Amino acid sequence: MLYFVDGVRPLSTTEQHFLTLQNEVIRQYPWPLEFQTLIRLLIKVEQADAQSFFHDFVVGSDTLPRDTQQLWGAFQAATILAEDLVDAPFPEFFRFLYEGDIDQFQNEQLSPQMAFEALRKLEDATAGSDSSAGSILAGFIRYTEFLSGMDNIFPSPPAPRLGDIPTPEELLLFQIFGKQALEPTTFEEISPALAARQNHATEIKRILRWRLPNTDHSRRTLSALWSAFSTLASDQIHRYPSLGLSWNSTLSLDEVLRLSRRFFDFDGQEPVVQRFESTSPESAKEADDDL
Amino acid sequence: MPADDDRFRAFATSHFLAHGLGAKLSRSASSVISERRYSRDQYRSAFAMACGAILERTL
Repeated sequence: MLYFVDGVRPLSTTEQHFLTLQNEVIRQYPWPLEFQTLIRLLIKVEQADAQSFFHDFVVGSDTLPRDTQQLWGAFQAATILAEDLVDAPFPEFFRFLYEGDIDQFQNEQLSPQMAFEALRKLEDATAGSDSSAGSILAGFIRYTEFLSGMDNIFPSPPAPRLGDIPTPEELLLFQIFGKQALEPTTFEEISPALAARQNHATEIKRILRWRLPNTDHSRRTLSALWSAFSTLASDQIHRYPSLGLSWNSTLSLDEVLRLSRRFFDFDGQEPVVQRFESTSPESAKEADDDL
Repeated sequence: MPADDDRFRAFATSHFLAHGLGAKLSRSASSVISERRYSRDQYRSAFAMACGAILERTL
């Protein structure tokens, strides 16, 4: 994104040595294409040309306006949010998605207290990270918060308004304004600023998406995590009916997958399929009741 | 202020690397590189995350 000035070395000698030694680890990880190219460049970069690395090799985006004033706030907010991805319990969550043991996770007797305890430990700076099921679940909860935060900074594109089943509001618009009211809209039609923000979201996805690899294993681990989380959420909400809350697993999962696709390019098709295959008659009835 | 203004970019770069996301990514990678306690089951994903942190900082 043309963020760095010249004269900044892309990595330290220690880091370069580390990358060189981790050839096997790097080869096995499903990096996005531009990361693969970058690894090859970083391993080969010499001390002499390190100072001009960004000028020579890192091409900034040409989809963003040069005047960044209108995007400065969104950029800062996204950067602050992305800092969270580095802290516990996010690394445990992402590592679980990459190569976590699903059977071991499913054999854990998970409780809301385990996740709350893991989240509470985050407030204790002296507590180290751990890879317990509670931490992984806490990481998933924080992940949904991250997605929600990003969706607030970068509002989702308007959905096609001419669906198979128009909503009551759409029908009302149709009655008042005719067919034109139901035609799809685009960001450009609404606001150039929103369109620029959407381009910005795409650029950020390009940088962050390496954390959520598009592999069968990550789809299965996310499915297992969702199953555990959804069971706990449903139990808790049914336990306290006076709160007046309802839980719809299907719609909630769709939203998590939609935002994961939007901000991480994650294709979660398999968990969606598994969701229907693994849905018990009881839980299916509960979902119907919620609807 | 335009993104290609040198003063703006120098300030943004300095802050990113010293205090912001860049600093956090550096510390995250550094803690893994210097840490030797990872088990056989953990090291592959931990090292992949460290490599990713270095690469993310560059983009």
